[in-house]
Amino acid sequence: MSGEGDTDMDAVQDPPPAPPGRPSRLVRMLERGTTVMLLGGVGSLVLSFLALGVVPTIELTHQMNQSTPASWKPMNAEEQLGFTVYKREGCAYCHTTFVRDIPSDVARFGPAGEAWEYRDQYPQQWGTRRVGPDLSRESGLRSDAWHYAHLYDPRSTVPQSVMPAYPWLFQQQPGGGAVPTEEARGLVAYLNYLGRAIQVSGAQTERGRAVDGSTATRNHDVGPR
Amino acid sequence: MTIPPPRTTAELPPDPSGGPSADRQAPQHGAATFYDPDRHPWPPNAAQVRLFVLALALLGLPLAWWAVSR
Amino acid sequence: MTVHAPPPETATATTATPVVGTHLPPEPTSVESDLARAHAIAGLVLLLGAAAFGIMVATKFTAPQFLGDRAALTWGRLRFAHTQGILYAWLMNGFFAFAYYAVPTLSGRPVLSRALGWWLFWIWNVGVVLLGWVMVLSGTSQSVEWGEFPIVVDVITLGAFLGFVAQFLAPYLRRPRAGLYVASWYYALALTFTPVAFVIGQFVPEYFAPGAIGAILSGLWIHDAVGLLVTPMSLAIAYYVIPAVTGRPIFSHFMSLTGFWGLVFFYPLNGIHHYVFSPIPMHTQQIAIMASIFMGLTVIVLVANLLLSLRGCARLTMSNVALRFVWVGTVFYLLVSLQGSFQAAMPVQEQIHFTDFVIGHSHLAMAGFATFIIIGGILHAWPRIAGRPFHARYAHWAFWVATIALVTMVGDLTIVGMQQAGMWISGASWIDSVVASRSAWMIRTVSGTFLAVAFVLLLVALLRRPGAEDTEEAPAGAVTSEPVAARGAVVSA
Ligand code: HEC
Repeated sequence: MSGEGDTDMDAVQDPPPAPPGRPSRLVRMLERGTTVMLLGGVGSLVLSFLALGVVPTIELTHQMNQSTPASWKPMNAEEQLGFTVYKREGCAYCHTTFVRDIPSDVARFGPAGEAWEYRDQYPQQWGTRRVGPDLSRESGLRSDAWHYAHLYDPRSTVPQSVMPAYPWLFQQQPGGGAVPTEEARGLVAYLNYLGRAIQVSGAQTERGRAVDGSTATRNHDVGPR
Repeated sequence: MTIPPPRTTAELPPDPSGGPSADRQAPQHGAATFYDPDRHPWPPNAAQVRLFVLALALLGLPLAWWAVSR
Repeated sequence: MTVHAPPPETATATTATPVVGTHLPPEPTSVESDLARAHAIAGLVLLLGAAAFGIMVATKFTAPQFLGDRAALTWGRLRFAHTQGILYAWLMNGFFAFAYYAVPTLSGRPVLSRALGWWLFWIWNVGVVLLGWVMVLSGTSQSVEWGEFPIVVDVITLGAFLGFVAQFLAPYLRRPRAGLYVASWYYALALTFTPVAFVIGQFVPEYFAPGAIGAILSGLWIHDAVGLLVTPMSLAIAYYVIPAVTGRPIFSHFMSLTGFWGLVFFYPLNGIHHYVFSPIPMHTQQIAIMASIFMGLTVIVLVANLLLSLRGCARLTMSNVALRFVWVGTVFYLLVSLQGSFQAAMPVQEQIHFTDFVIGHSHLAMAGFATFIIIGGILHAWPRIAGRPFHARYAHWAFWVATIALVTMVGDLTIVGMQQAGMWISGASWIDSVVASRSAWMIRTVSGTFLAVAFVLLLVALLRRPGAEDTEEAPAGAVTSEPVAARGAVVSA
């Protein structure tokens, strides 16, 4: 291995002949920088993105093309504005927007999420933490007035809520009231878009049903809080 | 089991690989080779490697099975 | 046999008989002390900012009106600033600091360019960290986990990161094709894997791949950032510091190889475990979960190797605070990995996903494993990169405060996470689970504050000139009968 093309190494004498315990060629190969970079850095990247990126992408595209109901419509401009606000304020870090395909989720929130529901979301806002409830079945659950009051001051509707207030989505009136701005109206429109498609179309697959076969209903919000 | 005390550098046996193992040295204190052939024969013989892989599989496969069962 | 002359300050420490087969280049390589120092200090100072954001976020869980209802200080934006700050401001600065110290030593070649280094230093800290913070707080951001900084900052980050790749890979490419020491494998892996993974994670879900497809790619990036950037950069430090301080070899080369190649193979397949029971194809989820289980087994081998390398060094870990940080960070690595494999499993995930259990996990990984090992690395390198020892008393205090605070925080979040899981499954009203978490959230805020206090103590330890009795020579001197301890005392300068 000595003197492999580097002048600095010329000053160094050849190593003594290899004693019997010398590592195998495979091991010496695995220790090389080039192996680590090409096989480790590049190879594993390619492998992982093919196996867990490209393959499921092809599958999902195929599946969505087949399962998207004819009634599905992408967000309109107002909902899109609301989606922008939703992303900007990090709502997705306290609220998920996908109902998992497990009994407790389906029982609490409604039909499990379908891939086609999200095909107009750049990027998806599924989320990884639920401080507040899942919002993907929010459509039609609350009145617009409730949403405005809740966004302006969550504690006015739910006294123990820890959700932040969003007064900058409202215009303060001299008389003391507040009127929703375009952004607040968009946000509420977006909340009403969440889950509307699946209500209109009905759940498409088995996954949309609660495990006992009944159509799931949500129960997290009924009754006094 | 008694654990042998740490050795001084001078006591370390020479690197048996004989190769240009500058990089296989423990860094900074350039005199210590980073594996000790006395205690840990290298390379492990084929039987040891097979045992190791078998142990990982025996432990991992049932766990993996459990992990994806609902 | 020509032997590398040890750096002057360690000459007394390594009056060893030359070992056959030592082929380090004759001229001592230059460690980029000032760049290392600058990144270390910048990282720690900015860490105080990132930690402050975290404390604000935590406080708002129990006092939602804390800091007023101001847009720039709303919970969501502060959380963006917190997590991105931890990654870019603290962890990456810490990694770069140690790499400026370690890579020239490991490769026997200097880094690509010092001038480039200073450019990158300012671009990173101003153009990535500060600009990113200002932008997310003022409302320009991308709501993608581990990608919250907006696209402008992403482009700058990518450019700067490529600069660092050139900086730290050049020394390896300039040397003959020969085996590298374990720590170098991890550097080479992280630096080659990350740029492409970053591009896919930062740009594709945001602009090209909507919905579930975007979720696949963003899930991959979430774990690539943790597993193929933060983890190998931290392990490189551990594999460097442990043998350097103990003066003993790594326990087993076979385990080094198994751990490394296991990580290479299994970690990139983990990402989808963030979206289990989602609309992503089920067998994709299952592959990710199985890979997570095998990753846990790999980590057992990897950590066993590191801990066995520390056999019989209990006293050394007590006197040498740098080694102690690395050692405890390694133990945290084992714990957090086993926890990760466990919570990836479907029966577990079904219950604890979306709860604070997972938040505890991420703090054990970032504030435990990565942070502890970086701190250990910086402390180990400090006497050489700063030209004087650190203030050992403050460093010891920092260790104990940080450890107690972190263990408290993680334990607290784990317990309340299980409580939340139970309440959600029981069908209790949602707000009940919020109310029930209140006291745990308070404990989290307090423990987080103490963690920040530990970082302040650490900064003082580095910046304050120690008196004669405040260096590590005092405790290390007490055990000089043990030859290793004497050689391990890095402050012999
Ligand atoms: C700090 C975490 C947090 C953030 C950030 C947050 N929320 Fe909430 N949210 C909650 C909690 C907790 C609840 C449950 C109590 C309540 O109803 O206020 C909730 C409830 C809700 C509800 C009522 C759901 C229902 O039907 O019961 C809606 C709608 C909502 N949030 C929308 C939003 C929007 C939109 C944003 C972003 C602008 C947002 N939330 C940001 C924590 C948060």
